[in-house]
Amino acid sequence: MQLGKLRRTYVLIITGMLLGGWSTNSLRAADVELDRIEVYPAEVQLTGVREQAQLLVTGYYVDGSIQDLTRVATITTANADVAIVKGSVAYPQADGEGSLNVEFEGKTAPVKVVVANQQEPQPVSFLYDTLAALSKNSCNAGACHGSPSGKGGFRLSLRAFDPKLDELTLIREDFGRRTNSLDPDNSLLLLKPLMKVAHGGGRQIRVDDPAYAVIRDWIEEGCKMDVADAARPVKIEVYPKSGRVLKKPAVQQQLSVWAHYSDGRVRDVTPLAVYSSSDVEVADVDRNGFVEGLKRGEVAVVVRYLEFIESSFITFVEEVEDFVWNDPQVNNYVDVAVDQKLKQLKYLPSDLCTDEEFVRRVYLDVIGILPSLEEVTAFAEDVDPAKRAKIVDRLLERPEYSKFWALKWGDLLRLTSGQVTNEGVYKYYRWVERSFRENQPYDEFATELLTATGSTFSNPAANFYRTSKDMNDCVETISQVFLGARLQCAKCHNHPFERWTQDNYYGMAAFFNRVQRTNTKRTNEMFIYVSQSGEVTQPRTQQKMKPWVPGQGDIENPNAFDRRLDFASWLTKPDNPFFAKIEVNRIWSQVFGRGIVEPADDFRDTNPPSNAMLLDQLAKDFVENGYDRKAILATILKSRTYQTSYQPNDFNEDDTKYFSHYQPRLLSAEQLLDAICHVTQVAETFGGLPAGTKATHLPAPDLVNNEFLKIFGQPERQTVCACERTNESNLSMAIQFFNGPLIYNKLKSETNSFRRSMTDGKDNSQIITLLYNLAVCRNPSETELKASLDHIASKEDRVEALEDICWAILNTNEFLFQH
Amino acid sequence: MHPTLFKSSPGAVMKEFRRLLPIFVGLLLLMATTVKAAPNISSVTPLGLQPGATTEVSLGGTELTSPLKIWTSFPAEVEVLPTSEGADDATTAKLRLKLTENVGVGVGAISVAGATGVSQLYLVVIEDAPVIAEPSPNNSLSDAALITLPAAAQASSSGTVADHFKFEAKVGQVISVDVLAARINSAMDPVVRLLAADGTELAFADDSDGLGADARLQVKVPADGQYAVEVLDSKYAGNLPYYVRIGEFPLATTTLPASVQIGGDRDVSFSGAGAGGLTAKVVLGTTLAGDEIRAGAKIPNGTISGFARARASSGVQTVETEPNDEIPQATTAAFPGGASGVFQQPGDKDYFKFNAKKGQRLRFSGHSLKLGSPAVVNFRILKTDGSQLAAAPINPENEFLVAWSVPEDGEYLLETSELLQRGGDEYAYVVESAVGNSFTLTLKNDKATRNRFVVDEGKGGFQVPITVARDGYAGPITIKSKTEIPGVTWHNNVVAKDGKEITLLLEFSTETKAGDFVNMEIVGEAEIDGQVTQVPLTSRDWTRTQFGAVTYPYSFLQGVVQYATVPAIEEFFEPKFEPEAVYVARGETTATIQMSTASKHKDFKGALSRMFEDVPEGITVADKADKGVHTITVTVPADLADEKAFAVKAYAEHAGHLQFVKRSVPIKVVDPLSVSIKLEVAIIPGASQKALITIVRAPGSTAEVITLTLAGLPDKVTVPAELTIAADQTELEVEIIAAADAAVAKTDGITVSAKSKYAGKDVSAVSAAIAVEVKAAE
Repeated sequence: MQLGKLRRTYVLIITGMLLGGWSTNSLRAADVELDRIEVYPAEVQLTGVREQAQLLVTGYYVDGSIQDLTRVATITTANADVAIVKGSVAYPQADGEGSLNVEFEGKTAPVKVVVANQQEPQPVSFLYDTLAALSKNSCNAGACHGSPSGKGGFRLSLRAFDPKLDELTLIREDFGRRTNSLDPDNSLLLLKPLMKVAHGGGRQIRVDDPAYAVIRDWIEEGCKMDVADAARPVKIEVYPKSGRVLKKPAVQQQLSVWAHYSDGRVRDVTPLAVYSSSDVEVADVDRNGFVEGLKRGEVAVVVRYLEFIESSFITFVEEVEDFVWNDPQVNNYVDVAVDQKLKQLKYLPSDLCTDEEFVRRVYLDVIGILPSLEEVTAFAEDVDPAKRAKIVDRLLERPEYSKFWALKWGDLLRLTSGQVTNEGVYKYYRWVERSFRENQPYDEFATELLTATGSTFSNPAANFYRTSKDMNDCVETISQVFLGARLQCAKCHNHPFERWTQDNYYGMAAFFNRVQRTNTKRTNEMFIYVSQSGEVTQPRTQQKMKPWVPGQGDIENPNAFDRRLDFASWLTKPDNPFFAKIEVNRIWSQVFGRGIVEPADDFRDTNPPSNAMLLDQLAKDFVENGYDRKAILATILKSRTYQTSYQPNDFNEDDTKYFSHYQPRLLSAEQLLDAICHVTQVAETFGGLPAGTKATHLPAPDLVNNEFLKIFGQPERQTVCACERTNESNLSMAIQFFNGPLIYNKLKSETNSFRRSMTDGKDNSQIITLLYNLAVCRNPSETELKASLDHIASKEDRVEALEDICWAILNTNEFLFQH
Repeated sequence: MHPTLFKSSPGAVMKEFRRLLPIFVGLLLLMATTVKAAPNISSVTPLGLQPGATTEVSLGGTELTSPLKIWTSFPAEVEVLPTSEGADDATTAKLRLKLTENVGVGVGAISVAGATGVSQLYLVVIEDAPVIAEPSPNNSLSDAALITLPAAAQASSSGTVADHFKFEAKVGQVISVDVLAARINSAMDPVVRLLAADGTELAFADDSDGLGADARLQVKVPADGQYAVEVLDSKYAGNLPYYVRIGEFPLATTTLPASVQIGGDRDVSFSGAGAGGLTAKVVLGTTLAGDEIRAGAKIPNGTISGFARARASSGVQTVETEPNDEIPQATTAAFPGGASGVFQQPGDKDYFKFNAKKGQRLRFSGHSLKLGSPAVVNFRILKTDGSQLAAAPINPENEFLVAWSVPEDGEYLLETSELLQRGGDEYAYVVESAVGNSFTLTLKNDKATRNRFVVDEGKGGFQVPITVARDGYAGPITIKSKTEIPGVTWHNNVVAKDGKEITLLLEFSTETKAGDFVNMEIVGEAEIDGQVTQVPLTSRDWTRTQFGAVTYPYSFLQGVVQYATVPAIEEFFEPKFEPEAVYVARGETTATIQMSTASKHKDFKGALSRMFEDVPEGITVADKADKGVHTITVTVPADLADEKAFAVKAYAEHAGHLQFVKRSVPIKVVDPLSVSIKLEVAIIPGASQKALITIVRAPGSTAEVITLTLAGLPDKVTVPAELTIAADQTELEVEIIAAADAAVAKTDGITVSAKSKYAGKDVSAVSAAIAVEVKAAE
């Protein structure tokens, strides 16, 4: 390449940066003294004509606060013949050493600059520049040419996951019209996104975009492929590192992104990286990596360069008028972690809920049903300060605990008779239920499932491989249930938004491809075993895949008998970054209605935890206590955080993520049906199941056909996604409570609670009190009692009046919601 | 009779009687012609039969009509006890069974035969524990009745409510619980728990590998006190029978060796929980290779046994000698024979070394699940350096097979491992190997296949469809009874070379009398490599369809063919021939006749099959059937002159009764067509006269149009130009016209030629000449 052309490239890049817009506002409150400034990188190495360095200038103030000064600091070069500075980016001029000076408000920081290889050509890399530039401009996004069939007859691989395809379509397809090395500016690849030729996607690039320069230079250089042994990126780093806290009004932050190459070289790829915010209500990020906070909260800025994805977690805080931290009661480390976040974000936790609220809440969360009148009374009369902790421990030993939590896991395991046969469904359910009853350590539970073999009847855990019908199903199920990752995308291409690649998918598949399923001579029995041969071929590269796990890479010498043992071993290691967190988050979400990561089974960089420290500590505790599910649940339930009122205060009304107050939620379908039966004292029967079976104890949704349960969100268990269970309200629900047959029949039952009370000679006040206690675990208020009594007095028919009152109670939010 | 009938006048009575008579007759006919179903056993009480003791047993069911005959799969003296005085209740029967002391404990079968046929095989338990009825009450832990251990209780599931068997036990006692449901062909899928008196669960078992749906458990009692065994159907189904054994006994699975060599009593040890180190003597008696062996394993001073199973084998048996987990430690074995072992711990491998000769064909088969062991035995044949020569492919039976031809004389290795790498005291197996080519015979696995029959006195028989699988042997196979059955003719009992299927037909002689009940032992016999080999009939897959809960059918359920000879039911069909004889046109060599079925019973709508018998020399008979009509083609010599005959033996089945009907069919040589003419008066010139032409078609021929031609008419005497006799006619009046100037004349040479078709060919005939006179009017 000619030097002149290179220079033009720089100019274009610089122009692009400048057009991106600099903020020149002074963002700092004037009354806080700047202590020092720091520059990253402290030393700049520019070892090629295309290199640049995005400098980050950080101000440290005497009050401990931090501010990004990148756009307001003055950066000058002492050796313009060696390197120059445009804005906050340094560019090489000629080989040599020099220095930059960074100054802000009298504080300075020198930066050494070393420039080399300026006389040597540095061809544009197809793999790491051109494709990155296309990604930067979303040319290969799923909505554009990266869709499976492309757009407008032009197809690119999604996010450049298949360079061979891209090489074909960019250079050779369509008679080579897309790129014109003799006249690069007349290449369709540039004319179209510039809208100089009609482009269905509109204008996507400007001539001053850095990406434009990269693509144009690559064309001009002859659209060359990278040499076979060219150094390749092995990772990227993002600065500043996670954890930065920015306080309003200083809520801007420039990011810089550095790619580490296999030859040890480190290169600034800030202009080629793609940025996105995990929560655009909290912060936004522009195409140059400049982040701007919008409201208090936490955000993960996700940075993607080709298949590399990293995040920088930034917290934005602001002063809240009249906010005073009131040092609420701390029961355990859960409260410490939650309080730390709340205090930082200036949310004040709500007060503790009442005993009545607590007893109802904890019964519903632990065993799925409402407490009996006697239990409500006993709890109310217990004067022991530790009575809340005591009731948690008692409930965890109740038989209903294991049945209720088996219901939850039944959703994840797709436990239906349709999936595992009518014989299998009872056995699989018992296996799950026993696991909870015996408090089987979660790592053992997972290992038993993942390594299950044999008869699906004698070893019900083997049904895991009956419901996961093939290799792909295994990968996608296991990753979602145990790794919190949704890998379906990676089956066909690298995950467009996550770090999972197609290679990763088939690497994981190599643990499970040998699982064999065969029907036996016993009716409906399936036999699971592992064959001793068979490899996975990556469909795109045709490469035989070695078993692969995140963080560790390929397993070089997998277990000869059963590779799943290696996977289970890796999964359940104490330092596994996913396993414990997924489960504690799942448990947390079960009792709080939302996970620390939400959705609870969707762990990804773009979906960070709302309280990373809390999640880490829960996971650590879980691991250290031998994956004891009861223990971690008890810890959560005994925390003050769990016991806070659902009523918000003036300082936490808008908090839905940080657990400053309990979030009410509609009871699940099964809970609701059991609760209605509890209030009316009219049991529901489920054909073929023992008398007294509760809806929350049903082994599978398809064993009984209960319209009420279906309307209220009982999942069909067709997927492993927790999202299949919904409690979104709908019209059918309202109709059920308005005049549905279930409610009607229970209200009309001759043996229901209020009719029996009447028979027992109870007066109206007593009956109304009974109904309130059954439904919401408290006595009616004076107003409620009076209104009820007035209603009875206004009706000629006492029974009819009581039916009305019971119906009204069942229709209150207080009854319908877990609160 | 209705009392009002007698209050009427005698005339009215008679009138009424006449009115009702047809109804009575109809009812009587209906009763006479209704074929009763075979006996069916729905219960046996007690289900457990004591070795060395006499047990009075009540059978429940249908058609258990006296006189009953009983078959047992185990040696027993059986006495059928009279039913209650004056009653012949077909729903119950009483037996007295005396078992010898050395009958092995475990599961056996009985069947009964009565006047209407043979019952299904019903599974019973040969039991050395006291057998009790289901205690009552037992549907709650708190108020369940106490039982005394040891005990075996015959019970049935109570649906959504669990059954409880409460007992007292002392600290340190090792209590075993074994629930038999699938093993006695009950649809129940038991879930069993051992509970302390306060409901605390001490042990739980659902499906125990190797036992199908059955469950067993063993617990060391932690303290003196009351405990209870809780039994529930997994799906909460009610009224399903089960049998629970509770007491101090080992949960044995198999004997060791797991195959026991026949030819004498054998000392064996046992696999299974708590069975290690226990030994017993197995009395084999007349046990045959391939039979099921039941053996009891008792703890020292124990009173009841754990049920162990094994198979009988003719080969030498070897039990592994630990350690044999590495090639250098291989246990020496010999094949043909068996190598038994136990996968004691997960991942266990066993090695056996053996010598073999070049060219030998060794057929290895693994046996474990069918013996009640949970092991899925996987095996390979290796060179002594560990390199693989053959490996058993995995199949849905989970009992694998491999046939291997020895490449050269030398020592080889058999490597065994548990497919899922599991292990434990109960993971026993045996790998057997036979040498040489062979074949197997199995009852055809088809819905229509039956294995129990009634044989009508004097005219009965039955058919058995059999499938042949060949393993290196392609030659003919003769199917027969292991012991000769007098008075039985075996038809279609030779499987041709390469044949894969045959339907055996047994015909019983006319001398057969009602009252026999026979359990046949059908074998296939062939000469293989110079040796006469007999292979017994089996029926694993078909038996599974009959015993749905028994995943691995006991050997005594397989290949069973039983029949009872009974009073014949009325003949229900008759072969109908059209024409009644085979008419062969003179000079021709073939002729056909059609045979169809005439039903003699309102419910019989089936078709008949046939055999041809007594076919004269030089004559062949063949047929084709189409929609129930057999077109029989008879081929005779061209010069056949005399009347001959052959026999058709037709047979058909109705309501389980197969009957033979034999009919003789004449073969007659006939002229296909003959013609004659008659004219009895003279013809007057100018007038006409009628002559009668008569043709005769051969019997059995298809009616065809006949074309006639008259010859020899006097001058100026004519007949119509075209003369034909329609296909449905045999005569034709012909008007003979004499012209007015016809000369008076007299001729005696008028003939009629007839032409037609017969059996598709042109045929003709000429009448005898008649005299005609043209005579002037008088």
